[in-house]
Amino acid sequence: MKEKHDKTHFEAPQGYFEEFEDRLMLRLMEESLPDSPGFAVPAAYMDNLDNSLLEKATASEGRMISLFSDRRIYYTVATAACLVLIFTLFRSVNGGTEITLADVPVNSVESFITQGESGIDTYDVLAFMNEEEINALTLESELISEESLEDYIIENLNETSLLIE
Amino acid sequence: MVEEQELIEDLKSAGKEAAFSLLVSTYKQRLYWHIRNMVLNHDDADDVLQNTFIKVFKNIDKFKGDSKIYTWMYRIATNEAITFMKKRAKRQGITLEDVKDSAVENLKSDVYFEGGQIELSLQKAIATLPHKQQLVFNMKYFEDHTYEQLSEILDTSVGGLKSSYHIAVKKITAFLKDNETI
Repeated sequence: MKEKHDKTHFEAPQGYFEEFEDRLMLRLMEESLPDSPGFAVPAAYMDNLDNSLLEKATASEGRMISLFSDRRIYYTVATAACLVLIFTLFRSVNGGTEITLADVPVNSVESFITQGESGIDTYDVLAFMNEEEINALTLESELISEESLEDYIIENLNETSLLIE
Repeated sequence: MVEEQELIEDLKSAGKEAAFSLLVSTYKQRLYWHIRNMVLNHDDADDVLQNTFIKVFKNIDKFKGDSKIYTWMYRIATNEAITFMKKRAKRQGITLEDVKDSAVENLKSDVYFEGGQIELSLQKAIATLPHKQQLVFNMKYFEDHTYEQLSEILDTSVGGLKSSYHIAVKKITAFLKDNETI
C-alpha cells in the first residue's frame, strides 16, 4: 500500500519511510569513500585500442573447435567407457593375465569404436560382467584424482567457454 | 534496441570488421574499467580486455540475443578476468585471495596508479570482501550500473544485489575506520 498524505493527496512508494534511514546511512557511508579507484592508463591507450583489437581478432580468427560440443563429449565419453570396459573384460577373460595399456593398439581401437564398427555398446559389454567386475570399473575410473581433474580444468578451460556454449 | 539488433546482424555478416570496430569503440572503455577494477594492473587489464573482445568476435554467431549484447560482453569480461586470476594463482601455487592481495600491494609502485593512501586503503578494503561482493561494489560504486543492469549481468535478484552492496559498503567503511583512513 502506498503512503498517503491526507491534506495534499501526494503519495510516496510503499515502505519509503521505513527504508529511508537505511538509504540515508548508505549514502553517508558512500560520501566518505573516494570517488575514483585512482587508476590511470598509458597515453593514447584507448585511442589505439580499436585498431590493435581488430588486428588481433581477425588474425586469430580460425576454426574454433569447441571442447564442449555435444558430439565431442559423446565420442570422448563413449570411447573412454568402451576402452575401460574392454580392457577389464580382456583381463577377466584371460584369468588375470596382465595386459597393459602398452600392449593394446589404442589408436586402432579408438578409431574402430568411433567409426561405429564395433557393433557393441556399453550395455552389451556390461551384460557379460558380474557385479564384482563392474565395481572394479568404478575403481578404475577413480584413478583420475580430483586434484588432477581440477588442475586440468583450471589450466585448459575457462568459464567463458561454458558461457558461450 | 533496433540499433543493437542491426549491429548484431552486421556482426554476424561477412563484412563484420566494420561492425566490430563500432562495438569496440562503444564498449572498450566500460569493459576496460570493469576489468581493471577486478585485476587492478593495466597490463593485466589489457590482456583480459583483448581476450574478451577476441572471444566476442569469434563467438558472435553463438550469441542468441536472449540478453542485451553489453550484458553478454560483461559476462564474458567478468569470466575472463576471473579465469586470468585463477590461472595466475594456479601457476604461482597460491590462492585467488593471495593473487588479489599481491595486486593491491603492487599498486604502491604502479606507475599507472595515481591514488593516494585512501585509494590504496579502499583497494585493500575491497580485497577483504567475498568475490561476489567485490564485483557488486565495483560495478555499482565505480561503474555506476543500476541494480537492474547488475541483475541481468550477474543473474541475481535486485533485492539480493541491494543487500550485497549495502553489506559491502558497511564492511569497507568499517575497514577504513579501523585503519584510520577516514
